[in-house]
Amino acid sequence: MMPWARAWALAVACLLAVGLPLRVRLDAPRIGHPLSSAPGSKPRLEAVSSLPWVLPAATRDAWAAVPGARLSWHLNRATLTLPEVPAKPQPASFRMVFVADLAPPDQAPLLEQFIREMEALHPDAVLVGGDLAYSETEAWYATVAAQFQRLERQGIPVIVAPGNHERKGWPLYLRHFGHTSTFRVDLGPFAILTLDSAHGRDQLTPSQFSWVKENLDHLDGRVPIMQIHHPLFPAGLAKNGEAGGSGGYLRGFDQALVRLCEARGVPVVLSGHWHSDAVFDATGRLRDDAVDFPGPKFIVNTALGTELRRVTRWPHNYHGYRILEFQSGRLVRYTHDLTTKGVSDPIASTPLGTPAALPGGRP
Amino acid sequence: MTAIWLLLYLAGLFHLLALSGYGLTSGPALLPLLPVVALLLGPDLRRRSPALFQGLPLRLAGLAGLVASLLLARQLSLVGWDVREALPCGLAAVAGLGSLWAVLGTPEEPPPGTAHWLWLGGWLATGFLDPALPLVGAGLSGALTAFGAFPRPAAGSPLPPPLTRAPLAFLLLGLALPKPWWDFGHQPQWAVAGAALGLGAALASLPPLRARLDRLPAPALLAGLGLLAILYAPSLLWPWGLVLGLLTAQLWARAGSPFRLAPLGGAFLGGLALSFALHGNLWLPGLRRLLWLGNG
Repeated sequence: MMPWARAWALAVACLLAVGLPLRVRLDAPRIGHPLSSAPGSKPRLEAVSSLPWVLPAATRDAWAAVPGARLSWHLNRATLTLPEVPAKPQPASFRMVFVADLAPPDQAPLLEQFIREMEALHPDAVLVGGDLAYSETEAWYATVAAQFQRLERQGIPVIVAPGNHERKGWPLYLRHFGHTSTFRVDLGPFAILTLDSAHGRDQLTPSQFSWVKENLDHLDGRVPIMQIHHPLFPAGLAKNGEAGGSGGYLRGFDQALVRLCEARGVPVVLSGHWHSDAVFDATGRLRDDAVDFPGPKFIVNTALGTELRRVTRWPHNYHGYRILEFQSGRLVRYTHDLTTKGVSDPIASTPLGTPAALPGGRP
Repeated sequence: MTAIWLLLYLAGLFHLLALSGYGLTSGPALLPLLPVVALLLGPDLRRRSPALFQGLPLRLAGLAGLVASLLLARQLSLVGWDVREALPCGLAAVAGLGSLWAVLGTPEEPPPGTAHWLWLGGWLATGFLDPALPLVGAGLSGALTAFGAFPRPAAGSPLPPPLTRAPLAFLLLGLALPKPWWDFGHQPQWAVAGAALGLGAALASLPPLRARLDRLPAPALLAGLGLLAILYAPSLLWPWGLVLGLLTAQLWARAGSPFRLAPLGGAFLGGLALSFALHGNLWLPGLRRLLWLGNG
């Protein structure tokens, strides 16, 4: 028994040698992962400590000072659940902006322009659907994070999903945007589910799919919105012959996820990856024939600042983002009027630099 | 010690590198491959120069392995691993080489006993705290072994006949073991399966169960390992890990003596790599339904 007692004692000493002095990593809130602020939701602070069941004194004291908060542990993972956000009258309209495939360093002015347009437009939330850094350097990740921080300082929550390009500089992504790449944030009448399709290398995995199901089972009356970097459908019959190697789509649990979205009434699933606009219905048909149709809308968005492609027969390509307008939780508009005839075109996102997207108002 | 090195260090390193988006994009990224080369060449070196694997060199190597694994874990804890950075790559190499040195310097011993499997399961469970910690388990085991302080397994009941296709069995183990890694990614729940594996293997080493499992036909053992590479669900981590543990303990009992580290370790590593490749290529016909149940 003695040799084993000594070995286990040394094992504990090794764990202490790694974990001391105590360190902590805050996983939520952080840039790209804001706290839930919807009435009735319970915002949660999440942190991981270098040793189980203990936090550094500064964090412990700060958390203890929050009135009505409840601390829970899962070994070294601490969660501080804040008191429920009180119910208050909510504006009927909610404007969300979705953007994906951001600018590489040599196109930094496009990112700057986007941030300025968002500062002017002041949406209720900005969702960033992956491929946010095309350069695996600390400096560029810091630049992108600082740009998002500008929006957050103005009260615009930014919710970030990773894309396949983040996997090339993965430790940098984790350092700047946190180790939780699959998460839920409740804002306004919405439960915004952010998925990490690159986690399983262009696929969802069983545990992620279970997580989605679990969350869709516990919406508490909220409208689910999903963002995931990879589109759920291939271009299929709508494929443009010049698409080359682009047009990749989700490889794991894609069909199951589509069925789930249909069954649970998810109004919209937002993706990037193609650098090209597209909108599909739940059968996988490209809907360039109508701006509205029943069932979930599987939206693929053009790139904000990187190389543009034509993946489907949809003829327009430009750098842009997508403005989604909701009324009382219902999606009322998600396409742009390219011809300025007062009627939205199907599929079209909002081109970067569109005056209509600038102050005042509504596009 | 072979089970500890292969399951804690080699598998742990593979897992960490996969989590960190490993690629041969820089010179330092070659360093973590050194223990893999040593795995293949080390047994031959030991035969030629046995003095290197005894006494002071052995102790120095074991100690270096422990210190490097501790420094590596401190470096990566809560932060992750940028494999372009030289320091963690170098530490991973020294941790692996040092602990492997201790394995090579260990006289032939019986398969791990109940307490060894519990030790291994405990260290796999520390992956919940941080995925770098199982490597510390390998480092500590190596150092204790080098100093003669790690408990040697006792010779128990007679071993079942060795597997004629042991490399295939180790390849299948490598194919099955990482399922929870690919599933959970950065979420720490994969470590539950590791804890269950240790517990299952410990149970399998207890005499009553061991006697029954010894009667398991070899094809059933292979089929069981192969099935675990398919029949996986995140909601069944404990039972899945327990069964994998039962079969893993049997695998070591039937690996043959002396343990052929290079071919069996190489087959195990090949299984890990094959699993990684298969799970990243679900566009290949038939794979999507075969690899993840319910994937439609």
